[in-house]
Amino acid sequence: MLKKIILISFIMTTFSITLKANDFPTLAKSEFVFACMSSNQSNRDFMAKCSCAIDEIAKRISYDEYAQAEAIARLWEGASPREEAFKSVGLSKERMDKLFKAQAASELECF
Amino acid sequence: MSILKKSIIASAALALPLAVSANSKIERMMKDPSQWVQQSGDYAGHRYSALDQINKSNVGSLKVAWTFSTGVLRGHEGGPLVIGDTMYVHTAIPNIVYALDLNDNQRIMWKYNPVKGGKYPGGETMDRVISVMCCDNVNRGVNYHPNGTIVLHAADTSVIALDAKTGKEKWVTTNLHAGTGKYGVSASTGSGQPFIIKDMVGVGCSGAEFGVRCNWTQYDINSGKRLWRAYSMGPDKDMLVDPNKTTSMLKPIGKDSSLKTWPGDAWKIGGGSIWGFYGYDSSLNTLYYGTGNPSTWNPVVRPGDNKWSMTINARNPDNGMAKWLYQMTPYDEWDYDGVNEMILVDMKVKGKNRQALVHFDRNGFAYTMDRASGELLVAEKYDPAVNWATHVDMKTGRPQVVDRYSTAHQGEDVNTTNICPAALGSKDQQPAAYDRLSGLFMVPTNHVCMDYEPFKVDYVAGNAYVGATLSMYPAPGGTHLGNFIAWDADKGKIVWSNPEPFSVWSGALATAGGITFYGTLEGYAKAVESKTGKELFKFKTPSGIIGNFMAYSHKGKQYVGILSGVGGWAGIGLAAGLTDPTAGLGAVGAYSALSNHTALGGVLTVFALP
Repeated sequence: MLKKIILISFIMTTFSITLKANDFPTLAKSEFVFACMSSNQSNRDFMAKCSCAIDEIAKRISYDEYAQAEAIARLWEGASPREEAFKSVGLSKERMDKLFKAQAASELECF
Repeated sequence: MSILKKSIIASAALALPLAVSANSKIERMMKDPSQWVQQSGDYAGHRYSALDQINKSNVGSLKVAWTFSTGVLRGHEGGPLVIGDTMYVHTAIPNIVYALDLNDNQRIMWKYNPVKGGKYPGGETMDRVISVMCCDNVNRGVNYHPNGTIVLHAADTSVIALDAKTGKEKWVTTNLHAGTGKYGVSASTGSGQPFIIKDMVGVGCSGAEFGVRCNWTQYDINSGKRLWRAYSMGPDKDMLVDPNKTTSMLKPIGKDSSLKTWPGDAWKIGGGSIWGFYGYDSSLNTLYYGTGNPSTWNPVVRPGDNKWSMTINARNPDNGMAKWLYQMTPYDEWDYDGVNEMILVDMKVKGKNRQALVHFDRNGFAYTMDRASGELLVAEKYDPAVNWATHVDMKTGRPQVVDRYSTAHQGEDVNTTNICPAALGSKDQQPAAYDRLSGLFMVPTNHVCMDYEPFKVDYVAGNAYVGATLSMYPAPGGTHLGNFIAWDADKGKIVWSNPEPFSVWSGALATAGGITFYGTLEGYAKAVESKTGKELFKFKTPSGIIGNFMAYSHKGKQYVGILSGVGGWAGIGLAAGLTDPTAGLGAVGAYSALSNHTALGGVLTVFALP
């Protein structure tokens, strides 16, 4: 359900997205493809789909923004009072929304 | 060599003949920059390395020399030690300790796990300990005693002495039980470093969110026998204070100094935890540590100064007697724990030579004190956003609280807004470094404000006793949540300040190469020029960094090491759904192949020049 809402909000904003310079280090892309294949299927087909997905994400957000989203995701997993506190921080919401939108777009394009 | 540096060496040399043998041995080892024998590098908490092979002109070409995966997820605070050719690395819960052979490709010489059959030595299950543990299961590292002992302060409060050569237990004692009714003690946990002085090891305790009454307890290093215990609050005899001789603001504290400042028996669950980084001056034979917040976070139920929570303690390590106390935040209304590190520097303050103690408190003020007398010399804001108090009155030592930001003044069930700093403080436990070359302090900070709504809560042993709802956000006028700053502790002024997107939760390391290292929550290991703050090096480690940088040299080559590790492996979150793993990108299958990757957990990254 949440995913559907994200998809809809993506479609509504899809034409307003400006494409970013693709500045992801290969290591970050490889890690994404590895995790994506691991959670789907470890075969050639999914290597292509997952590679496509990270390329699409990298078109939409900068690596700095991605690294920040990654840090926020880790803090959310920490789940102690200190980490909990950061759930409400404005920056966290903004970064994660941007990542969700990029992910939704990559799913439409690649899967 | 600066005059300042000379005077430090001279005073240290003078102090040597007074110290007993074990002390002088470890202090000699601390002066050898090829080793890193104590969490803070030295007793003074300088976190300074005299190594200068890696310097401001070549740090840009720094490369990863080797990495070591701890195999444990969650937060990795503290850092490794290097004793001779051996490195000791600790982990988050279950608090594994590894000994690595630096002569043989970091081969694991031994591995010690205090959790056996799912239980800690004190008898509590690991799951139960985790349930009462604050902050991502962290541990702030092991320490070393020259009789060949590595000491671990495990999460269930067990103090464990290990043979440094074999990893075999020499003795184990549980300081305070993490359990509830069974032991009649509330939920204390251990996360702070065990602190070695002479032939003793001392530990604090964590758990002010659980209504504990915390204390410092000193043990004999050879037998594990308890020597003394000083509570943070309560009757004079429990606190090891002398009403006539123990001073605060240069005056005797008088009889029942703590009891008078709590309603009824509230001191019995008064908090005052001790889990930061400590200091010791062998020439003054004085131990320095800070106590944390009073319980609960709802100030309305505990009117009074709540002494001696939020207090810098100066104590005789032999018998625990307090020499002086200074309470930074009387009647805490914001959770500004006073636990942060104590940095001991001999320096000029307002034109006069002082044996100073510098402390960057969670409450947003940086204090410079005379560590011999306890005289307050400087108290200034080290983040301009700080607004809960206008200033510290230098006559009384009391912060001048602004009603608008007083959660007690606003009252129960009222949301007090835009308080700066947030409960995490302008700085949390992440220790600052002292750069002996420039005389500046290198300080990792938070730049976060909060709304705080206290509510009534009844104490139930072993359960969280928080009593406040918080939300946090960046300080006004920006979107960044942290700064890395250089501080002048004489003038009480920021010299330079680098904004960071997130709070900086890693400890700093200043070096003789004119550079300072720190890490960020995105996982960047950074080096900046100590004088100017100019960024010279940046490298992305596999996870967020909340550990502390350290340096050593081996076979003539300088190395710099840092632990990374926060929460789980982000790859899962980003590629495979954040909260619901089945909601990941096109996810159709299980995660079997991920287990190999996630087992990497915390990672120690060690850098060197190519």
